[in-house]
Amino acid sequence: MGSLPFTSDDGLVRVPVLVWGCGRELSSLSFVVDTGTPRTLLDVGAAANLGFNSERAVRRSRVRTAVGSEEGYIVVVSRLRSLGWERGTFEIACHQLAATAQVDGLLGADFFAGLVLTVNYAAGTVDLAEPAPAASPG
Amino acid sequence: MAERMTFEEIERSFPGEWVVVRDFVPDDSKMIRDGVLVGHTSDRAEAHRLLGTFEGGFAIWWTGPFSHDFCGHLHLYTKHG
Repeated sequence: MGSLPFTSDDGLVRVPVLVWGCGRELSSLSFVVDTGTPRTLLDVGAAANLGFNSERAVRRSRVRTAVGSEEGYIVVVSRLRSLGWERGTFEIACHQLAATAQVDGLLGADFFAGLVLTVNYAAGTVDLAEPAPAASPG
Repeated sequence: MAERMTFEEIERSFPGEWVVVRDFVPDDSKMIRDGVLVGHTSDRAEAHRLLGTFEGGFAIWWTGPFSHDFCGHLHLYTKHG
């Protein structure tokens, strides 16, 4: 798949993420691409509306921030799709984002694992692709 | 009867708001191709409340720019333990 435009002119890469909910079919949420967070993160309010709550957690999660740490929980979504790629049986951490946050989640490094993420700020595009095959020696 | 709107029509009609849409057609590059508008509000909690007023899939997004203190809101520098 080719490069996709990202919908932000302030440097943050905001992309749509399709999530298959628990008892609720496909939904589309807005996430920020954040390679600095190791695990994809979803706001608890949005998670609840997808049918995920702490009773469906597979384990607890903790995020550490500059001002402290916060408990959350990890759930497994059957499918999650963004940037033309889909992950199945994918773990996401559910945490409370501030009420004034303007997205519902962070697309973390675990989603990009094994792929090549290219952000072209000049063009305002983002691309997620398979790595090029290694050149054969000689 | 609720009106089906395209992504562009929604963005143009409700700038700087949270919008909630049902019965949407997904799109890889935009939030949706089109869908039925459920509501729009500047309050994120209210937008989440709207999600509970109907069954089935939904699309939710903010149509405005990010605020300058956005990173602090999101815990963008996190470690999971």
